[in-house]
Amino acid sequence: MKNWKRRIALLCAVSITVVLFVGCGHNTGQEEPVSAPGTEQESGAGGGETITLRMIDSLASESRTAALKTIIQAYEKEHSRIKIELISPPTENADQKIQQMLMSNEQLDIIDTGNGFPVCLNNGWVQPLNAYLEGWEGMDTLSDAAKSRMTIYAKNGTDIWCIPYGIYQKLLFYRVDRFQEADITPPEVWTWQDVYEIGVKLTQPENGKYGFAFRGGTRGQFEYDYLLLSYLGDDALLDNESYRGFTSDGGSIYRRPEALEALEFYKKLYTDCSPEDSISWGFTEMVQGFMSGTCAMLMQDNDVIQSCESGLDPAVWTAAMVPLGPSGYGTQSCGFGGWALTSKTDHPEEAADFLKYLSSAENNGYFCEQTGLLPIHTTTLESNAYFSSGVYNVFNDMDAISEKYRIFQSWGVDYTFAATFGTDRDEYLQKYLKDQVEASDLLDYWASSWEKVAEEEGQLWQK
Amino acid sequence: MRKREELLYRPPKRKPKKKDVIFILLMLLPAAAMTIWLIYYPIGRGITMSFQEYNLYNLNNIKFIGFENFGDLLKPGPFNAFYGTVKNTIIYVFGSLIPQVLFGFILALLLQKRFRGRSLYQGIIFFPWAVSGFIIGIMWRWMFNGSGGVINDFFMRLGVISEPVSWLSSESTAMLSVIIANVWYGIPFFVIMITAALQSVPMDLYEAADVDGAGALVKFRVITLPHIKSVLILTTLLRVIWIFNGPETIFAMTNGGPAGSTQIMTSYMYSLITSLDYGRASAVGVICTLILVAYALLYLRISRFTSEE
Amino acid sequence: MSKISRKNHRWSYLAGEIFRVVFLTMHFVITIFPFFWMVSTAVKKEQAEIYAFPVIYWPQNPSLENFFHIAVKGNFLLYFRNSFLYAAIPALVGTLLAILAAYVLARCRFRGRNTVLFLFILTQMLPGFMGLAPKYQMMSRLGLVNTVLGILLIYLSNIIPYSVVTLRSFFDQVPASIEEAALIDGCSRFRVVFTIAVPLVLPGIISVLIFDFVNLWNELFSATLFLDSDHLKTVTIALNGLIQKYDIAWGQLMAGTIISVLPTVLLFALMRKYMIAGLTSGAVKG
Repeated sequence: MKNWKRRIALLCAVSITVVLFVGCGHNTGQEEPVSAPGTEQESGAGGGETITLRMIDSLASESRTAALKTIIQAYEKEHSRIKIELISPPTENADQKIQQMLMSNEQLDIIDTGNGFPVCLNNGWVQPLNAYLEGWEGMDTLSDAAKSRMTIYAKNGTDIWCIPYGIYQKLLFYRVDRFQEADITPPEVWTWQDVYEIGVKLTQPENGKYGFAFRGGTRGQFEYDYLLLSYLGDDALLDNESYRGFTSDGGSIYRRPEALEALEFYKKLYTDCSPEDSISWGFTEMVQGFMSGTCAMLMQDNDVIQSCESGLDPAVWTAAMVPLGPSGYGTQSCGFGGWALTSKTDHPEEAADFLKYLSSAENNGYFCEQTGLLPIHTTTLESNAYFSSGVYNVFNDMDAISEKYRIFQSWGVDYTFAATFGTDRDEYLQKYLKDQVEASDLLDYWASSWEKVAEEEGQLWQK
Repeated sequence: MRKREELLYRPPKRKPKKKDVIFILLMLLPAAAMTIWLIYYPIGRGITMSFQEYNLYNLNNIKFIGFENFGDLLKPGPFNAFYGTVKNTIIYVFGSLIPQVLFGFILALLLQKRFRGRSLYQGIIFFPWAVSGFIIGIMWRWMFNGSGGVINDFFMRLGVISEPVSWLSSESTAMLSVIIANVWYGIPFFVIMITAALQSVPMDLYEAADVDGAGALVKFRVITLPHIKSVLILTTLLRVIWIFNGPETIFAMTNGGPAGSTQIMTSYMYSLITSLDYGRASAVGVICTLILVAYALLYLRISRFTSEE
Repeated sequence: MSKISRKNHRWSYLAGEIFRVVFLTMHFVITIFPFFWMVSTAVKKEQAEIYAFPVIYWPQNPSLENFFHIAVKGNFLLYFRNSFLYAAIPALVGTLLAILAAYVLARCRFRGRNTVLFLFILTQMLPGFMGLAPKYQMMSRLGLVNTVLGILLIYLSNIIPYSVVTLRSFFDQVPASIEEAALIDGCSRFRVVFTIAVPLVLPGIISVLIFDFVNLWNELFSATLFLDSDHLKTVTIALNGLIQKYDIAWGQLMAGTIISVLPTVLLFALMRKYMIAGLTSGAVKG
């Protein structure tokens, strides 16, 4: 009995201490966030003390951080009471960190949409920019692509959830030197079959030379989805134009016979044209594989142009239009990154003002030139010599036959299980490439998984 | 064991003085409070999550779902990822452990004899242990690089292979590569432990054995091994826990790939966290904890058992 | 050993010696080679040279540019200072707190002692990631995210359990008779702890201190999550930041790694004796 009493006394003592510990902290913790922004707001109204805006980047790199800092400094010079703190976490964990910060109500005013934006949107961590952007002169010169990306997450079709800072579009990069060595003339308009045939010709494993820089690592599943879209005829698409993972009869797109064809082709690209290593390649490794000459062809976004320009002799590389699939269509992506305004910000006006400054034709042009993205203003695209030279012309060529290209829309993000399922998909796609899973089983698994959630949760995407 | 302990402040069967209790509490409290506050409380919250549908994608929809997360994980089928990670964990832990012990043992024995530069040698082979697991992984990933890595270059120069091997991208070699890096990382630990244990073997036993004309192997079996047995068992058990709970090397080298062939339970848990499913990640964590607690009990049993000997 | 009859054992002795030399040499080469390769990569200026295949072992024009870049442009000195503070302060404070708890757990008999000890040991079995998100929310509520105090507290809690468990086994191995005598002479308990018990286990304390310091110096996950501002970052965050979307800056990464491991390697090498003594007894009685 005595022993029990002693034990209980000990437990009580420990728990009281813990409670005190946590409790004390609690109080100070609650005081701080309330008092600090409070004083800032008052002074903000009076124009006295400085306001600190916190902005977090998801894709930090040396050149990117430097470009942002230059713009921030210029802005701070013009607005003496505003200070902008740029947070640049290591890219690997950046999205996770952004989510963690927002979930815990840490002060963040502007966030990079990164790869985890749907999470922020779904949890109400960001607010629409419509009201703040009224009368913004920059709006008039935004490119169609940029405009469409602004509202891409809008359930009602009009909410502007972010201002894009740059657009990513795909090109087929190829090594002129490798083509010349093998005496291959590149076709005017490429098809995926061309890519495969040329790729096979250029593949000599014994010399460490391969035809194609394959993406089998993170997000490799989307390379397959792009491919699949170029395999599908018009009849396979929901309401004949949009690609939403489902066909008009409500079944999964992975039930279509084209899904199997595309999957098998995807595997052939890996086994016949690409290094074995590429099963785990992501962006960095693909680009490295191309730059080193290991791989002669690379399907990637325009931001690779800059890496090529700085790292390669202009004579050894160029880029072509995105290949067309058996359906006669090619798949173009319209990826983007953007800045969004958090819903918890205490200084929405100030943050929005800075966003407008950051997104002006001049500053966005500078940012994009430094980071290799496509600028968001048509004026920059036209007037800036850099964006109308060299391989950038390929985009004009593609515009000329724009009816041949469908834009890939990512659609799965509307469902809660999408992120977890996405990780799973990458892994099983790798298993398929390694002959551990049958193509038909894999497609059936994907299809039934999607059909199941669609049935349970209904159609969550908007038209 | 209890008999051997030297205890203060507690003459047997006496009511504890108030002063004693205060002293004990004061001494224990800071460390215990920090541990409870910053380790047990968050982990407790984490364990709660394992019984919830807790997906970061939709925080408005957090609800208790009982054992559903565990059920999902353990549901057999061709697309179950969990069992594979259990298998990989076993391969990884014991595949790393056994060579570490073996090489550590051999090195410690070889280092028994004095030679010039021995302490310098011991100082230098310490080096892997001072580096973080993450950096170790990055470094080995760079060396195992499939197209231009130094390991491929080395074997090609030796004529062992004719074309570069994709060490980290083929399921047959990825686990091996990760294990090699981990073995390299862990050998110093065992060298240190076993060296120190060997110092406790009384020299006169060897001398007596020499007089009897015993050979090296007999001496090893009869004298060395029994004396260091307890250290060996306990360091081995301890190491298992560290390897199990330290997937940093795997993150840096393969991130669990290719095709999940190097995904161990703890790295799988982290991949579930990054893909937002905190509930299921915590369920994996709970399973890991249960396995390791079972292990810890075994560890304590054996440690009591060996110190009684 | 001197009594070995050399004639009988000549051949086996010779074979043993050859094996010893070969094995030790090979192990030495394998241990040191990655370090050599790091240095070799770090002094290569051109990316082409870094990625060249067949690889270049001895760079044509070794250059310290990567080191320079890291040290000057990368703000590395500041990160270095931060890493040092975040590792040294919790290591010192944590060891002190652990001494108190370990002493009691070794010397005093009370109900629940084994349970307390087991709870300290149990922390080593818990996967750290499981508590990371709740810990973040808790620290955020307390206003401790992105603060020096916050990271110091987290690091302190990271090392305390291990230190307690290890130090307890040290105290366990030292006879208590001197302390008993001192107590009878009328010394206060706290004085007995610090003037008599602590000096006896000093090697163990130093080994724990070093071990804690090195662990914290190498810590990455908590630092990345809990620190935002550039001026608070650590060396490990900065190194991790060199792995970027566009390129892994291998040259700089290796240069940074070399700089970052120097303090810990030196510390280990200098304190080797203590480490051996400390770690062994820690494990023996763990």
